[in-house]
Amino acid sequence: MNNNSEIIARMTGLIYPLIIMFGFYVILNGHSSPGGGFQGGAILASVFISRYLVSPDKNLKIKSLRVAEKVLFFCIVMVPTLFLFSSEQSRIEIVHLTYLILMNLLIGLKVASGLTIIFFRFVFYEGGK
Amino acid sequence: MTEKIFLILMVVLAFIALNTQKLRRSVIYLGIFSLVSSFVYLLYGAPDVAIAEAVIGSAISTVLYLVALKKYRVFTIYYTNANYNQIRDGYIIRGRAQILREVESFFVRKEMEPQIIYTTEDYKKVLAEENFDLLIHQDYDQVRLYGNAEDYQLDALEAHMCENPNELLKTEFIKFEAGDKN
Amino acid sequence: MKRRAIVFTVCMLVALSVIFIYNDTSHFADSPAAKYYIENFKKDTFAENAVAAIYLNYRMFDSIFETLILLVSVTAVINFSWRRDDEQ
Repeated sequence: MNNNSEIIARMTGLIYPLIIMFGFYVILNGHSSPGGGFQGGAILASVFISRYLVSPDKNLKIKSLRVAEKVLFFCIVMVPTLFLFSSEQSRIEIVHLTYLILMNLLIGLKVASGLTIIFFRFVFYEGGK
Repeated sequence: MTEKIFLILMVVLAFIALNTQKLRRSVIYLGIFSLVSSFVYLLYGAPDVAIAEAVIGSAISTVLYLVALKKYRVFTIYYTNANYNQIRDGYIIRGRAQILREVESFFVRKEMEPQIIYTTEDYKKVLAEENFDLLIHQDYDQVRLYGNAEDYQLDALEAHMCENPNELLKTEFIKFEAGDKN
Repeated sequence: MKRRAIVFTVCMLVALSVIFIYNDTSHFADSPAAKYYIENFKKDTFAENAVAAIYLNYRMFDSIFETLILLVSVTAVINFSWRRDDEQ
């Protein structure tokens, strides 16, 4: 695994700030343009996967990602329960927009951490080498 | 009309992916298949689904399959030729050496992934420095195969070669102990 | 080789016939719910994107249980892993 292609490593290192930016763009604009939490989260997870292509030896801290995923899932359950399912909804636009962006962000981070955990767990703890 | 063409292209790509000999190539065909299907989603007016399909289908799952193949078993074969100066590039692309084709088809039949590396370096240098499973050294019609003595796949390959001998090539197996190298 | 050619022709014929059958179907959903969503999603949820309005407001349970499925699958992957020498 050490003899990686230099070209791929350099180009991916150059590109992946742009991928992070695109991922957050897709998440934060999910309420007004195509995209949203799940898609943006998958793009963010592909950043970590391309990081594996650049430096395959480094291990991620999977444990903190797992904790983050559980906390984010708790938030995803609690925020709509408090906002959406409460008896009287506000009719103010800014509150609704905040809710949409917050939910997209939470879902995106959760999906990103989940896919990253699956990938890295598979890469480092499965099979022989 | 455009999406009909791409739908038919999807069927063709799926068929190619099923019928390719090497698993790595069929993974790449599956990536192209996902890309075309995401384009079809776009044509049907579902950009959200198209983004998800493009990311999941052609980025994440392709890389995941490739890593899985790498973990599964890749058989590294080095190929050196004593008189490589007389070989033009077209030789390697068009008619590859007979022995290489036989070895490759053997491993494909055993559902492994042969990874062939052509090198112009001297075979002694490759023997000393590189990490390989099998080294094929060819000098006109004299072929020598170097391998590890404990690798049972090589025993199977040798038995296969003895059963179906090639009239044109003289093959010879040289095996060394595991501790000798690397 | 011959078998593959036959299978390929059968696949292409099936694909062509499916495309021919569905040639003149319109792909616009035409149910009262869809009409309601398209007309009222902006007023109800203040979102520009109808899909976001649906999965974050009208069908919130869908998103919640989708993320729950991801959480469960991550747990399963970690549990059935091959090597389990750390993080225990």
